[in-house]
Amino acid sequence: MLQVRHLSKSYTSGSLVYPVLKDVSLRVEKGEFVAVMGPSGSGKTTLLNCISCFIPHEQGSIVLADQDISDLNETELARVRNRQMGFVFQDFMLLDGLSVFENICLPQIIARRPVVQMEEKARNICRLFGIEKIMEKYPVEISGGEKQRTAVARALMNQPYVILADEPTGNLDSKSCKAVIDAFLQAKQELGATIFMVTHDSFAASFCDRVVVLKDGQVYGELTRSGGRRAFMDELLNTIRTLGGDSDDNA
Amino acid sequence: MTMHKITEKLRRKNKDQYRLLGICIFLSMLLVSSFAMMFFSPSIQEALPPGGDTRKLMWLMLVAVAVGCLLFTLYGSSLFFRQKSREFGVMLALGAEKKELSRQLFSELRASVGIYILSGLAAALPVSYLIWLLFRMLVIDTQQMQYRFGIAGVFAGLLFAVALSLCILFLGIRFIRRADIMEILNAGRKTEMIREISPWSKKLGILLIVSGLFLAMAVPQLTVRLFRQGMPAVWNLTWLVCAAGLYLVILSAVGQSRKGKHPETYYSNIISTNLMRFAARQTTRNMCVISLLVFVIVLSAFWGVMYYYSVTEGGSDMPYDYSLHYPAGEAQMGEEEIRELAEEYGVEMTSFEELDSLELVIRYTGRDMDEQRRYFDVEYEKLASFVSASDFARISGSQVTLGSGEYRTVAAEGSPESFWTDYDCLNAIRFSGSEEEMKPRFMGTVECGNLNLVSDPFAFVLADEDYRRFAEGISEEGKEKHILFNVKHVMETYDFADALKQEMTARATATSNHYTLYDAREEELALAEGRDYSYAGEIDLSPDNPRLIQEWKYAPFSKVLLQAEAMEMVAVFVLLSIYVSAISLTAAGMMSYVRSITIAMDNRQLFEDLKKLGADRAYVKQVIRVQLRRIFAYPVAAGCAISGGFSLLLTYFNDMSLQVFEVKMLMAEILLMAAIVGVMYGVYRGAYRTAGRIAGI
Repeated sequence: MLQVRHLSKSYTSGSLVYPVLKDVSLRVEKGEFVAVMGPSGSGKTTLLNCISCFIPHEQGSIVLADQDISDLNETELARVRNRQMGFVFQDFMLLDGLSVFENICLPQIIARRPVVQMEEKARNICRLFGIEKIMEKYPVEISGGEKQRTAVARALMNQPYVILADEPTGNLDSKSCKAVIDAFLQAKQELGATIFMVTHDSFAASFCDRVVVLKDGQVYGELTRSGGRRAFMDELLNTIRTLGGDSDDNA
Repeated sequence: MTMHKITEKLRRKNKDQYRLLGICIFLSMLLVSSFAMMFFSPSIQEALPPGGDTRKLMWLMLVAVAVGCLLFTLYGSSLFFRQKSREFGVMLALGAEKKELSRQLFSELRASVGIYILSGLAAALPVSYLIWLLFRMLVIDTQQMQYRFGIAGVFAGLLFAVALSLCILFLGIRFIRRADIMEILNAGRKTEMIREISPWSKKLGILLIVSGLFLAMAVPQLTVRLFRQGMPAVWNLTWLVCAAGLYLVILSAVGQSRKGKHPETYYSNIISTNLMRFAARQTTRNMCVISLLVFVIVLSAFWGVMYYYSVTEGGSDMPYDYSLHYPAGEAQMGEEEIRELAEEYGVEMTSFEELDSLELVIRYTGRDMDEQRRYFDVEYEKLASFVSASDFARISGSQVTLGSGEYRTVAAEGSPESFWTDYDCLNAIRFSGSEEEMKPRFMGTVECGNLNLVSDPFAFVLADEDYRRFAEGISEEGKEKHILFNVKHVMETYDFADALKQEMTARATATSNHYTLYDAREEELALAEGRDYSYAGEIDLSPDNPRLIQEWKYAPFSKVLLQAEAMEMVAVFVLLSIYVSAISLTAAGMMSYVRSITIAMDNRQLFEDLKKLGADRAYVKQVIRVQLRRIFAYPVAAGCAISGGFSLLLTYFNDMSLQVFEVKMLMAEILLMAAIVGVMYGVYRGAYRTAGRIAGI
């Protein structure tokens, strides 16, 4: 579904060049829930921003559903973001002036989809994530967990090929964190969603099928969940510990 | 649910952003357009001398107010775009096309900006009319003060509207071109960090302000006096030195904080100081504009005071309360009739003097300037008044010794020598009806303001024997009669003075119906050379003419009349100065208020965090108060200090001296500053209350 091939990205400051991603390659299969972990400065968020085409990269390609999205023009990119990608941000990025229901509808409103079908779909998704009671509320009136579940619901509205989540549990307490992860799992199981999540939260990552570990801008290794979640989390924590990086352990 | 409805809902929800932008646009349009409508009104345009300093000053103030209002609106617009960025970023991330979003943004802007621009322009006309009306009701109402609408004012307003729209459009395009979604998403939370501000920046700033003022105000006058060379127009760029100094002073006030000798104050203000530092560049720019407006307020008000004083104080030092002069051949009032009139009005005379003067052709050296601003001496030929030494001694009460071939120049009391004509300017005096000339020797000055007033460049005193030689064979046309007298309680004799003026105008004939600067010899020379003579023609000698005292060559002088009619004579100028001050004060108040509210809105979350850290209401209040005080106090102090320095240098270097009335003017300016401080303090209190409400305390 999503392929990252030999991706390189660097930042410059004055005459100094700092390589952030060095020849990163990875693959996410359809219906897979993949996390990217790594210490601070390992390039996790930069990788996500490159995949989202929010920032340009220097070398390599990003292929989404057999289409190279690296060199698309602005209009084509907008279409890809609207129809083929869904985004979940750390600080929710909901529009405060719109209700929960309207925020969820936004991707379809932008795509100019028929209203009746759109509303029906939004209601179904709300029901799926257990947020139908807060549909008419505004972001300021709901909790952080509810906000993030709303964001996940919004990301799923156009049935994208992949959901790109940037530290979705970073601003949440453990209870809300679990609720958001449940939302992702529900999306995967019931809607067949493919999820690519950047996180430093081992607890959240332990629910994934596979975890890609980055270090110094390179893929350090991959861990695939084969047994129970608890064992997988221990494995993750051990790996992170050997990297000398930071990780939250909410379990 | 469509995109249109979503946009509409977001607009309703974010109405505060739109309202703030609207207020900025409306106020800017209102202030600039009403100023332009007032300035371009025929009533004002006819009153301002073409090419005069007053007109130049008015242009300067109009431009300063327009620039201030433009920057104010741009600030409001940048806040609008900053708050809009989150919405824009989310839409882009969700796949909205930038093209579509910019179409919506500009369509929204077109509608809201257009409405506020038109409302501001529409409100400007009634506002300028109402202020004018108020001034007429409260201060003075003369025929000259009729409000006349000038279409040029509307065009100027439209021009400003175009400039304003283009600037907002530019900001909008720049906003849209920021293609990086991440930056847009973060823009709402983006703060700016300035480089460390050097501890000497405040001192350097003050030095630059003082140097800039000196360079701009004093150096041109000094080069003229020392080297007879004016500075080129590009020299005005030295004002930028002053502007740079102001920027440094404000920047250090906003962003500099050291423990120094008062660590308690440092720690007490640490939150406020650091909050301001995070938006230092923007805050500094804003405060500099407010300083500029305060400068305009004080300067404009001072200019009004200067006009009033120059008319009223001009006569206060005269040795005689009343002085009349007229061609000797005209049947004007004599001593007996004046005494009768005085008796009729219950006025008691304490002294009464009469004397004759000879109107003789002179050659004298004056000074002029060429296109390269080089000053050079030039010899002029015209008529001037001469009195005999014995007559002068009689009216002045002081002994005047002069030998044959000598003269003294009559100066006004305490008045310094003018740059344009020296006291020893007289080169030759021509005998009437012949080509024979006397080249007299200068023996110094004597003082009598009443006589100084009636002859240009000066009146002169001759030895009695020379006076008699010049008087021989001179016709009545070559003589003038002077009457000078004092009365008891002069300031209570307005009715008598008015009656005297009416009687004189009633008796005036074509012989005396001339403009103040009319000179028969200059006219004769101009006509002989085939040139037009600009002071030819008759004036309106009706006693109701408000400009009679200024325009009529033989207008009677009276201290009480001058005092009473001073406001009438300068009403238009005073109105204009009050108007400019009021407009600038409104703009400065609004800008400070908006900036204060922005601070409260931007830091709302931080205030909440402070409360979580255990800060009580008093502490949060203090954090707000310290920031607001800086926003209000520094620009007001800087604007007042710079305008004070400007006025001081202007009055001193005008004639290289400070006269009593000029010191009085400067004192009046200090009172004006106190009034401005009072008004701004009122705005500060209002802003503080609102900011407190926003912060939830």
